Amino acid sequence: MARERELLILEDNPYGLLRYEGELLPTLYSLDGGGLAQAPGSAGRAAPFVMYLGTFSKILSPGIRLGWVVAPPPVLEKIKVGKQAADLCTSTLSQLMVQAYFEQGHWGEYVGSLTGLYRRRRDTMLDALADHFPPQAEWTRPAGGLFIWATLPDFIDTTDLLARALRENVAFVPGSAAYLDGRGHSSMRLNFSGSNEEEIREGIRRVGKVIEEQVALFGTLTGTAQAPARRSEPEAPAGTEPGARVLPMPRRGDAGRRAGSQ
Amino acid sequence: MSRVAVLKGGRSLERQVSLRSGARVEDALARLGHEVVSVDVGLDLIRRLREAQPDVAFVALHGRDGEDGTVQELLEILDVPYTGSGVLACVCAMDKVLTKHLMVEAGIPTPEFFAFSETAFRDLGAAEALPAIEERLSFPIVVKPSSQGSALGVKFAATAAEVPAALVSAFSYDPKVLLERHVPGRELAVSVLDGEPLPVVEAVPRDDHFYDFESRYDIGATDFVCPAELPEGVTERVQEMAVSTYRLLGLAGFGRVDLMLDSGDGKPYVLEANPIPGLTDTSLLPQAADAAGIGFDSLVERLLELAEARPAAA
Repeated sequence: MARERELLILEDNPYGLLRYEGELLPTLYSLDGGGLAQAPGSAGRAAPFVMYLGTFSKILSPGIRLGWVVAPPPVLEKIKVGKQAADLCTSTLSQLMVQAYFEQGHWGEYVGSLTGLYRRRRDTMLDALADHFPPQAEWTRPAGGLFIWATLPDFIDTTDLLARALRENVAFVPGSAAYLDGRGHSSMRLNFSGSNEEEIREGIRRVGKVIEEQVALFGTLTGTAQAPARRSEPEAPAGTEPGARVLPMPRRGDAGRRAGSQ
Repeated sequence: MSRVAVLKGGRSLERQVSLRSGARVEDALARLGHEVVSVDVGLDLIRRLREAQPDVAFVALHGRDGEDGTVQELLEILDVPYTGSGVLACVCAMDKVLTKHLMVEAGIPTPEFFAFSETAFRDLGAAEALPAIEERLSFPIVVKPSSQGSALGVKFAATAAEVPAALVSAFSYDPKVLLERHVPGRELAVSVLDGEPLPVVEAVPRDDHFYDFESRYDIGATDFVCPAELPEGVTERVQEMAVSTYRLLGLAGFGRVDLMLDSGDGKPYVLEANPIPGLTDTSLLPQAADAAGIGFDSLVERLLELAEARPAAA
């Protein structure tokens, strides 16, 4: 479509190399005939319609604030002008350090170890979700990246839920932040890269408890009394397929587990 | 010249707004030649204040802890004079339900409302009273938490089916919520400085949206008109209502009273009072002061003087 209509695509791909299952997905840049944009430092054939953004923040260190751009020379010229005006150029010292690091050629092993670490954290979070989120919730099982996208019952607004979760010292990104038109209000983006496995389990447990309180309150308000009992046993299959969906199940009333007003 | 501790930030949901208010106050204080001690309110608050020994504290906090009397109570204990209202006024103003009950009692018009705690629904089956309430208030109904500022957690329910979710949202912020008759019309704010009303500000949303948290603090999302162009007598009337509310709650130094001018009956209704109005560059009180010829630096200086002049509470 881009070729047909001569549209330029800006491909921003910070997470592409963090893949937990299957092969790396081809970049739009490579589909457009560009060569090897994903590997840091490689200069391949230019793609006519796709400009590529890469970053070292997810494969080396976020604090380094370095990335790379592959784009046609006229675009690069403009980017240079803009960047120079914005930050008077990136530190040469950190650029040289990153160059030296990648010249050693071990970056692939490091990304491999990160991938293993993040895969374990993802799996921990998926298990915790199955244990602690209510049966009406559903969530993705990402094959890459750093986030799980969970969707709660429609009556929960995750922006407001966040206010409650913050009192339990747990944060997430409300789903509406991913849309411009007000959608995503009952979804949330959960990050599994920044906390260790124990913290992930505890964090999901706390968010799950808050959600459970809201589900119970809603049940009380609507007279449906759908106070959820904790899943009696974790549903092992939950989350074993992409976009795993946990179906709502009838629950017995449980007056003792309603929302506390504290 | 005084040594002024600017209290800002904290852990409330309005932290970011408070940081902006505080930074702006600090700049003004520096221009005025005061010594500024910047305090991001946290666990070390008492220690920081004891170390700094400020002559006065400028409370630029919004929301929980800062605006609800908590920090004021601590400042009383430390015997540090502070800007704005005392403990009791903060406690009253931060609680919309209490404020509205007091207004009803004092004869200040405020939209009809019903307030509930979470326990009322949980333990007393208050949900069964919802249809009666809905009939009384008629749709749309505004559902809001009792204590939050900046429109956090405020929802409009257009139908009965939307009420439960709106309540769940409001209860996310506070164990007490209120259901209020929606007043369609113009949004007005009257800031009060030392008991005197400033020019009325009207908030005119750019699109048809409710004046929410983000449009409040994003330049360009809302147009502000100050002084608001109002029918004859209305300016005086809303200023009088604002001052009555300010006095009723015992606010001191400054405050901002938010009202709706009902497009139906043409009458103004008080929604709430803010004991520590925003002081950011898009906030209403500084705009109103500006329209009255009081620049931001003079405003800050005036608040300091009032704080230092106020006798310490018993």
